[in-house]
Amino acid sequence: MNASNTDMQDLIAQSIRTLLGDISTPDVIRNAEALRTHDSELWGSFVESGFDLALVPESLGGSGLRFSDVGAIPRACGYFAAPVPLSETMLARGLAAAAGKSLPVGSVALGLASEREGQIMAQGVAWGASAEYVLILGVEASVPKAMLLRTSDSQLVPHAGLSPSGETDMIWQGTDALYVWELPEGAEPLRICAAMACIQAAGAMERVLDTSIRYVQERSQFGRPISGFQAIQQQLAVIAEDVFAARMASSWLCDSPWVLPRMEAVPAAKVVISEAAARVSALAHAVHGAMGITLEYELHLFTKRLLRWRGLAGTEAYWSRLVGQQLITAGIFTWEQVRAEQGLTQIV
Amino acid sequence: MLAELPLTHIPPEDEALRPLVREFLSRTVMQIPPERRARSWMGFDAEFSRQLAQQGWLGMTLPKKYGGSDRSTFARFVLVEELLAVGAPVSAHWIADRQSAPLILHFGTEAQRAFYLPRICKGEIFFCIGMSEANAGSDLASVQTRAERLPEGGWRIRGSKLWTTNAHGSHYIIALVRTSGGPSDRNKGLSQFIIDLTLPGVEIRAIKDQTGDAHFNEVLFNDVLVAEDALVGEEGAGWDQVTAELAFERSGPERLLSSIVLVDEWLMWLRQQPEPSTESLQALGRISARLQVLRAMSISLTGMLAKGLRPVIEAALVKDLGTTLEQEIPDTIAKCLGRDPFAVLPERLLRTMSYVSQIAPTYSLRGGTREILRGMIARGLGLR
Repeated sequence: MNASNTDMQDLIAQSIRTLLGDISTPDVIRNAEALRTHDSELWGSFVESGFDLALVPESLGGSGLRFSDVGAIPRACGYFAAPVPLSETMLARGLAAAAGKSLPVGSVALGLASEREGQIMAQGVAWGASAEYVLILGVEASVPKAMLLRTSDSQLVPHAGLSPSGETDMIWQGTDALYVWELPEGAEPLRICAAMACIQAAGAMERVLDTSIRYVQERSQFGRPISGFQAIQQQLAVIAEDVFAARMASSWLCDSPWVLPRMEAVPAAKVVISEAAARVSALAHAVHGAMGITLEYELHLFTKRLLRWRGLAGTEAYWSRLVGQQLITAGIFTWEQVRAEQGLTQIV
Repeated sequence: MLAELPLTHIPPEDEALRPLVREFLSRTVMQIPPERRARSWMGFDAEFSRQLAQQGWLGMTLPKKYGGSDRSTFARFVLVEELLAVGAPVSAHWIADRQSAPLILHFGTEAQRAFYLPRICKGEIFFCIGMSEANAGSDLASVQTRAERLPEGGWRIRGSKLWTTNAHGSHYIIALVRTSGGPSDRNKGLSQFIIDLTLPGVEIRAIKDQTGDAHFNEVLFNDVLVAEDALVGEEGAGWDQVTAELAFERSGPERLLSSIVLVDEWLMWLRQQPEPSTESLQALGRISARLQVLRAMSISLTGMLAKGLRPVIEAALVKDLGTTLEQEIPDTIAKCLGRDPFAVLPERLLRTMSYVSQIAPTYSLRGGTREILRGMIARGLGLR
């Protein structure tokens, strides 16, 4: 990776963190959660910054960046629990542009489709009700497809599961699609959704660690801050280990020279990050005591999302089985397969 | 907050070493039974170490003028991961290659470098480390072995070390001893000495472990007289020197691969089953997935060390994650193998399982216990 790339990455990381840090405050997130609608001020700033066109080629009016340049955006969306489909819109525009298409102005949510009797059904689409469009990824006649659909054309049902981000079940008629195009070779709908969940979860885990560190230093019991107790220190150390592993897996997903995260990194990354998400959430609540589950305190804004992303696009149960099956089939020793799967080849 | 680990790639010129190592190992190691290969970096074979030396693979990161090959830290990573991945018996030269040679290079005098390093690279001398004592385990600063400066020059060493791996097969011990002050001075007044294990007054007593092996020892120093130049580095700076070694000791592939031979034996057995259970596939996949991420972390730390950084906290974190997985492996595999009470399992798998499950408790003890490491991480987070 050359210096200008790294500079670009740092610049993007700094500006997205500043932007979200200023606007995506706990009150704003709580409000968006309650109203099940995404924050319009934040959305305006995002579009103004041009981040939504980051992955669109310059010839089509974008910044012409690759996923390796913009990994900080979904990560920051996790860290600040951004109550808008920022990363999803950026990805949708990039994917469409790669197929030579320009999407209409407006926010785009991301969903995985299952087709049922001529209908397109997507379960638990984050910001599904409040975005203007939804990018639906699915497999049709063994060809991975992308479809752009208008939210207002769909039947909307609030999602029954964990719904921190206005998750909505959506149904369209097959004929509703505004655009349909084939995904580039090697792109898998499930892996794309899993990767986006992973990167955001890594960001949220980092936030949970920061929040927990602050809390244990402020909270006193037995006459001293609870950060002084070994039992607390050991729990925080375990959270930190998980955060480091998750961030590494996330960097690996983002180390990708095209418009999507690194597809071959998804199975291992989703196993590690899903497991870590559940553990980090449980430990953070343990050190926070009852305060941690109150609506007033901010921890739940991040732990709820962690649990949601853990379950999205396959938990560790799904992906570990796949990794195991791949190793059985590969016919080589474990460490050879570990190296091969990792495929850490340098991006030029 | 601790800095992020940068995603790091092994340079192509160091990757180029891999096929050579693999070819060498296919001739020398693969026919050794798995339960012996499972000893990993506890497997002692002086002849094998000398064969590696002939390839130029001992002390390979050392400068050429000291007998090394001037190779990068990444080249050593490639070599070490290939050796450990098949359970090559690397124990004889392990400490000298990983810790003693870098220590002598960084802190030794020119005369000490010229005397020890070329012989380490040739596989002629092996080293062990004398840190723990009967009353100084995790609390290393309370070591009681003392070196007393003699009026006529040189030092007299009195005391004993415990749990010293390979003292019986080594030529030298690098011991951390007190040269001034007392236990209340904690980590001040400690120094490191290179002591020839054939000197009069050195006594080595083997300790058997529960597997029947005798890799560690008690080493007694009964008024051992050593020359002035046995002191390595600065008098009183032993603690800082030891701490500098720890980042090298804690984040390498040896913290991920201790149970890998068992995984491969199980994998070969699973491949023969008509339909491996979902539980087994998931367990296998979990091991592989976690190894993939841990390997990326270990490579990242290798890159930081290559830049001259001292990622001590980050290394502690990788070690705890890595050894936790290493210890879970025999447990997970045992659980999966026992799904069918009537299964007839291959003897080589059972023997490997038996060894690994008995030695696994040591993985999180050697090189700093889990609880001590977590305390260090907490300090890194600003909690103490």
